[in-house]
Amino acid sequence: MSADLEQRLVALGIALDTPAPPEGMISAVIARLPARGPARTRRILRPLAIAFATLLLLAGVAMALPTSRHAILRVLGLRGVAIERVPRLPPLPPGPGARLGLGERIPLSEARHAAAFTAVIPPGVTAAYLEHDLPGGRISLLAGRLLIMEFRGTGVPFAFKLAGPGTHIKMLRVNGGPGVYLSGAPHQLLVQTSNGEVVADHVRLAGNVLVWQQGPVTVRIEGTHSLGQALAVAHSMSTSTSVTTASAGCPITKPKGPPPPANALQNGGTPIAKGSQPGWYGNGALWTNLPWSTQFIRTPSGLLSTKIPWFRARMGRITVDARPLHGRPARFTADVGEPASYGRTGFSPSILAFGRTGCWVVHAHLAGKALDIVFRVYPATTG
Amino acid sequence: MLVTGSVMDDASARMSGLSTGGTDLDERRLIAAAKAGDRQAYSQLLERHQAIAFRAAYFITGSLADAEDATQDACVKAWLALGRFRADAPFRPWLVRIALNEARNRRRGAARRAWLALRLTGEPQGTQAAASAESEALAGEERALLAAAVGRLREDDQLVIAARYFLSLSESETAVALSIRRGTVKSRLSRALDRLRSELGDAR
Repeated sequence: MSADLEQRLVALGIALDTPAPPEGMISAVIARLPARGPARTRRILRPLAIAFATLLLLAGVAMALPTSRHAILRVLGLRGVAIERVPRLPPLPPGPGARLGLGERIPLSEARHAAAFTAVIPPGVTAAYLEHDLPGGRISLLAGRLLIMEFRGTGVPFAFKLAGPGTHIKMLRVNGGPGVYLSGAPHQLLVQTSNGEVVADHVRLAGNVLVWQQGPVTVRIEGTHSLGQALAVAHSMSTSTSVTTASAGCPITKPKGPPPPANALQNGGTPIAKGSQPGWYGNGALWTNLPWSTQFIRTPSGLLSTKIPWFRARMGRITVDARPLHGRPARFTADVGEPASYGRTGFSPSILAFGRTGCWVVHAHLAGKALDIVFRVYPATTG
Repeated sequence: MLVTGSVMDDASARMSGLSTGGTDLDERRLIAAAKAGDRQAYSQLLERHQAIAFRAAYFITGSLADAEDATQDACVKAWLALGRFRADAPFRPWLVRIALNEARNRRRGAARRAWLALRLTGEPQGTQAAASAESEALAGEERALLAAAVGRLREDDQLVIAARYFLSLSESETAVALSIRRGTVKSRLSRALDRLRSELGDAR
């Protein structure tokens, strides 16, 4: 039967659980692109790193000369970017997350692993925010009147001040990495994202700015009154990496108990080859296999979705709900395979979609028995 | 009678984690910006479609490393060719076509029919980890037979089946991805299914 064969092929396609693209593949591609646009070139030019070195030289030599800035902007293709001047230091606005465009507020305990990189959390931080305006996400931390931003970068930190002659630029090394200290009237920065793009970014707070590269992460501190204060905060970040552990605040569920029985280890009547592999977690009626995927896809409605397997020893329909372990509620949807499609017992796939990153607890129910799993939702890796 | 309609395509796309196609206004804007040299726009385009391009390459090469190389090269070549790409054309099948070509170029001397069968037997491919419980579950005897039968088909048949059922491409997208006419997709798919049916009969 043609219809049956096509359905079987579709099912086979789903069963071909091919791996997700390696993380960072797009960044690697972008780094390989020629410096000029596709319409004007037909061959790969020099690596982007050489362009960075050139631009850094331009920064060191030419940024002190106001007449050179226009030329630099033209080199960067950002000639149309408006240069915003701030005549005086504004007070820290109320509701800083929303006013400053920092994204959604997240629990402090989640901040370290809420983005696609490991953020450094210095002492004295009172609020944390996550924004997805840069590849891999951006973590913003408030500490008194200081704002600390972290995002993933791949090369030399890249920060130029778009300002008048009153701005002073000092190149220095911070925590062993290259950095820039900008003092004077704050305006805008150019930042280089992990995909190699150079974009304009507003300075949120009045005051001086320190930017430096710390491992794979670019860190920026705004609002300091002196280089000494900025370096003191930076130094605290060099030693605070180990303060927070990866699992703090998120007791991720570990495998436990025996594997599921034979009637759960089958798929539409076809026995599953082996149940002896590690990772089983169940309650006598329902099992899953841990650890769950760390690959998430952002859905058109903005949720973070991933595919989760279930194994049923009892008849019935699986229901799944979930909530963040910390902080405010967030949206959640579950699309679970129907028994009519996958058999009265046995394997059943599901697509779970979460409203935000962080630690979640998932409650699965079958035949009156509940199974709770705590795990971490990561930023989307593919579109 | 073919039944592969939107419901099956949507289900397959959802379960395989691939974005559905379509050239919406946002995508057209991204394409236009990328054509003008905007690398951030191009990065966003790749974010949308890297998964399907990588999957297509992985089907052909059967190796993570080769699939990544092929996909990267395809993305770079697509950028270089963007100047000749129509901004209102679908980007996804075009990128898949380039990825397929790059992957085929890497398959010199390799067993041309090994990719599906090897995948379902759970044999490690390059750095791939051991098969998960889920993939084990899905790799039942019946699907193993079906995959083996597809693997015995000639390359053209495999490609059209992979494009329609494993990559969830529409007929028009399949035509772009395989560089053939849309009518040829229909006829080639019909013949491929006939031959697959015969293969399954021979296997039993």
